[in-house]
Amino acid sequence: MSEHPLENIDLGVVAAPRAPVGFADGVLARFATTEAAIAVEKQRRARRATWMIGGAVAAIAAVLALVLAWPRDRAAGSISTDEPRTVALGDVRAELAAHAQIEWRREGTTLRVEQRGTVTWNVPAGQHLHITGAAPVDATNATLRVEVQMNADRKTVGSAAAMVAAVTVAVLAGKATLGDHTVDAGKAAMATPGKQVMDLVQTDDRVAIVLVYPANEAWLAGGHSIGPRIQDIEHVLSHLDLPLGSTVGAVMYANGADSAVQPKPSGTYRGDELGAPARYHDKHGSDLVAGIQAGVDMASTQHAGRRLVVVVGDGNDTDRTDAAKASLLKTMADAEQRHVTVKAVLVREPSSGKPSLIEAVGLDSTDATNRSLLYYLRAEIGLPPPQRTSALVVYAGRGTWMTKDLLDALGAGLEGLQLPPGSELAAVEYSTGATIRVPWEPAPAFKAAQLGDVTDYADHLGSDVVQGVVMGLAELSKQTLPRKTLVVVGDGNDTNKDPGLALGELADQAKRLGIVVHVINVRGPDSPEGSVLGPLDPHPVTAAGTGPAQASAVRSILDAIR
Amino acid sequence: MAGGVEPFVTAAALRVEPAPTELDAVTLARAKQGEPAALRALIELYQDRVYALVWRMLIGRAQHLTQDLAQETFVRVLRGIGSFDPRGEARLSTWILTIATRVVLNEKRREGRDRADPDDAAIATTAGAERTDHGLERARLAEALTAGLAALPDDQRAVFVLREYHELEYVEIATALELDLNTVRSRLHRARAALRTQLTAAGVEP
Repeated sequence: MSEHPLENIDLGVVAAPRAPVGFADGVLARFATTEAAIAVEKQRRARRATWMIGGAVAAIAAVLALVLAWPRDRAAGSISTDEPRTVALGDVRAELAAHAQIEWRREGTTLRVEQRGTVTWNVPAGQHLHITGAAPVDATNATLRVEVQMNADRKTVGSAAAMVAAVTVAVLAGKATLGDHTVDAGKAAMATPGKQVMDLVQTDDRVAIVLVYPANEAWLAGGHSIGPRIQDIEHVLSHLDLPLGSTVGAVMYANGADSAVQPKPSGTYRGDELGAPARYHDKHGSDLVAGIQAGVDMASTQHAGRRLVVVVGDGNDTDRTDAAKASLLKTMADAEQRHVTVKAVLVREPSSGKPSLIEAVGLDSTDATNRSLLYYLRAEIGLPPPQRTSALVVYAGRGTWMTKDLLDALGAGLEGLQLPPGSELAAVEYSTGATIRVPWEPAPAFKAAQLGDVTDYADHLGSDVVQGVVMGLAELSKQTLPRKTLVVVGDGNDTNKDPGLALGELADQAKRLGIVVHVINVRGPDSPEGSVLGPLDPHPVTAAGTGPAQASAVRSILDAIR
Repeated sequence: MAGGVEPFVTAAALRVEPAPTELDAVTLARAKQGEPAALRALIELYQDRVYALVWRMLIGRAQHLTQDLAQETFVRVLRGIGSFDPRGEARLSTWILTIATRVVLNEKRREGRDRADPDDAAIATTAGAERTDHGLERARLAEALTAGLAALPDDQRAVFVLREYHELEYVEIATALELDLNTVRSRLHRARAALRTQLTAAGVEP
């Protein structure tokens, strides 16, 4: 007999079954019941005489809850979700938006559903979806998004039909019926109780954007701490999140203008197409007028509800003559005639001259710094203003590099941070392990003193930034506001084994959770050459030197999360 | 090229991104705080492994208890997750499988279920029946293995299932079953030998 008696035997032929559908629901129901029963038991023991009857009632209720929640029949069930979730109900797939609820029952090839909230349904051929509501929705071989709005907040979807205020159906593929009304692919319709189903007219919300930028400014290559680097502009173009069908193009100006990026679908912009610094360093001149004219020409070729030229520059033009002014006025008139809006985002460098030309023609303009470019561009484009934000700062409570100046700057920056109303802040401190220093609170309530004092390492060796980031992401993932931002303050050191690998995985996790991560890389006397924080943010802001320089770096980052 | 032909499709070309085998640190931190969505994610990541382990531990005996004991395992996991230390020696999967193993063994001790259950005879041979389309040989192997696993004493089967189907290290099995390493080795050896004998008797050769 060989060393391993079963060598060459395929043990996998005894294939164990997978957990049945609804297994997790069953576990959670059982867990809740167990916890309820334990709570009841504790309560009963504590107040035996008074609560004997109440405890028994609660236990019976808990058992009833278990009986009701138990997945008795795989052909029926219900789901209520706080987060977006995709479920397969046989061959029908349902993508539930946050806070959606469904209750379903399968009858042969028909899936009968009561729904609340928004669900995107994928119904293959041979299957039939029937949703009850103000008007029934029926679909076969179709993909459709169904939004069911209720009159009042209800905890269950049972008998919900009577509470439905409106049902909206948008068909993405195939066709569906809403009541007796057929909705074709690309169309949408809405039903409200007691009224006829009406088609929803879809407006053209596409945007065509042309970015006009200078070729030879030192700040583009990172030559100055304020101006946006070329990478920042690239980042902006690839993160605009424009409506479907929108396009992005770019024009570079120097002596005359070059088309840097031909208009292309905004979702396909890669973020590395504006060229290398050498390309624009070789150019001379600052022909703003030619750039704007080329931008207007490019934008006017696009089919979109709005066509917009955004000019990024410091407002200078090498040709400040009356002829230049007249030329720009003519360009502006041309733009208006062609339904193209021109806006300027000005980067005011210390070396920048007066933006006389732009002021002379009354070009709509606003000032910006590097990290806030996205904020201003969104505003100029007319996209919705930044949404409510959950912002969490992870910082070291101990360390030779975490100076009082830096902590003061961080505290002052957070205290003065003007986030959209309804936003919230929290802070996690790390040294050996991590703790929640400031629990979630409304952003305006935050006070700098809440960050505490900095102490040296003393008896607390360790720099557990990994644990700090884990805790920060875990806290953020629980929040429900539409924007989530994590700011990590570190010197690139960590005492964990292979922190770079861990932080890389956490960066992926942050991306999946929709959390934007910014890093303030502090350089202290004992800071290592490299930084383990690289995977979290490819473009960290470095805070080195004295307090004012560090404060500037902190402001720059906090500017970005507005 | 000496020694043969280069394979047309290389192993690298066939490699796919593996599904995550352990819960990520962030979701684990959320689960430790009792967040429902994270608890659900934990269950859904490990449920098939736990279900399979329980099913194999009960093979040929009381498989109708599989769902009940698998659920009981997760109830205990959820109750104890707050105290699980991700920096400890045990991986989360090992910790969960350990709980599952103990739940099954305790149940069998308590109920005295270490006997063949006629109701489960059909279930025990299902694996073979479902695999007839994969060839008669594999069907016979499945049937013989199923019978062999069912015939193993509980203590040997637990070691065998954890090692061969869930790839736990010897030291992890020793910790899970509160045995010393030598006992783990000897039980595993005896289980393998018993199965070998069973296969040979059934006329199945590797």
